[in-house]
Amino acid sequence: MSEYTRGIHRSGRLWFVFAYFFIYLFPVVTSIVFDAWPSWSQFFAAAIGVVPLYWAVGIVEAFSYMPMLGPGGSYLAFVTGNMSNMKVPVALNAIESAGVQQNTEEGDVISTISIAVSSLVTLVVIIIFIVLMVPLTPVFSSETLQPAFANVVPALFGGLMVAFLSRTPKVSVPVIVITVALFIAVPALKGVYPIVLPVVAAAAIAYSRFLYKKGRI
Amino acid sequence: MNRTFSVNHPLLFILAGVAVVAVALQSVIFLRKAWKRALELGFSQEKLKKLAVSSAVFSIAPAIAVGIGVITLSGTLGLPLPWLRLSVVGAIMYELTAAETAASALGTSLSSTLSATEFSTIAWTMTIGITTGLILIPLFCEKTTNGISKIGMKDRKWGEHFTNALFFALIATFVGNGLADVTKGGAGLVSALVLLVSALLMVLCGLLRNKLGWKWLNDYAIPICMVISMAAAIPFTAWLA
Repeated sequence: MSEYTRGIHRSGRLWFVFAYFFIYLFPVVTSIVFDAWPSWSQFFAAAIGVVPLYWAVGIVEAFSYMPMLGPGGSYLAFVTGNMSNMKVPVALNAIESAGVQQNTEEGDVISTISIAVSSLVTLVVIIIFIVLMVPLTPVFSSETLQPAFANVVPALFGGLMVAFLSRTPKVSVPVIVITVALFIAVPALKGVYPIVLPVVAAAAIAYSRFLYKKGRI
Repeated sequence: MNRTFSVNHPLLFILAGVAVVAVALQSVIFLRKAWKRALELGFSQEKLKKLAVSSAVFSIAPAIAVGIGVITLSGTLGLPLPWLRLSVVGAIMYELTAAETAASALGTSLSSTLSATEFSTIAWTMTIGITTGLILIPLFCEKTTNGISKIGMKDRKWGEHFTNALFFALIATFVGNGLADVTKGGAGLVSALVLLVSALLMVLCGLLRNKLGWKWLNDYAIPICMVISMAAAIPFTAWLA
């Protein structure tokens, strides 16, 4: 491991402690200042619908995204959030257009730069929205524009799919075709796609390994 | 201490603001570190600048979608909590559902006025729900990413195939997710058409780049595909509704 990567792990961990502190500061201070601690029964009623599913998704996402984003990219992306609808695609796009491999330090610096820029842009855009909320709300919440912003994820992944298809099409084409067929056959998977991801990943790696051993890729 | 509660109380703005500043600072520090290291690894300043600009352009449309998420939630939850949740760790699809689920479990809804206790219960639920991934990263990031780079060091070619397989799986899952409701028509069909338009535009960008030598397209192809195909959702919706 290079000195750079070692340093990233060190400061990445430290920033996680800060992030945790600030995230929890909000509900803690709110509860104290407004004397508004939730009762256990209320808290459990609310949490039971959210927490188990989100923890399952969180665990799967953590292990699926870490290898793709690299150390620097992961520490930053998980703290800044909006992974699948922004940070993961922006990193994939940067890696693809810079022509680097992710499991290298080159891949990691490129993914870190793209994620850092993306986070800063998001923070600025959100602040602009808050400041200009009164004039912006009617524009962006209009019925007409609503479908455009409801479709950010398919709009991102259509193009990314084509960009990545040309990397070993012998693997990418069957993986994409079979996965899409599976989702269309079982639309209920839509709600649990983060759980589907590791299964597809394991299958794709196994198939890749098989072709590699046979000398066909 | 029992003060008059408001979902937009100045104190809540300060709490959210401090966290947002911390995250911005982390982004700047990581950006500087990675930039410096990239120069050492032989990337040119010019290439990195292009990468930063294209990543910024890329992020604008998804960031607007996040901004809309903040505005949507602000009606009931006020501005500070959605601002914090969507700037630090959160994601639009999670936070909207988490807030809605927590509110309905409390026997209220996001369309009514919340009491301080209801608000704090929702804030606790959203916070605890979203922070699992966070615990795992500092614990396992070093092991996981080292493991992956060891595969690459042992056999470079297989290392490349291994990460590519992960990328394909990720893209396949999101594409599949986008197409899951295609047979139901309506919004599902619109999403599928948006995906298709984005894919076709990417093919077109590839052709233009190769045939006409438009190298600059390389950096902006995805943002172009994204914005045009998002815009296409508007006539598709009008047509299919």
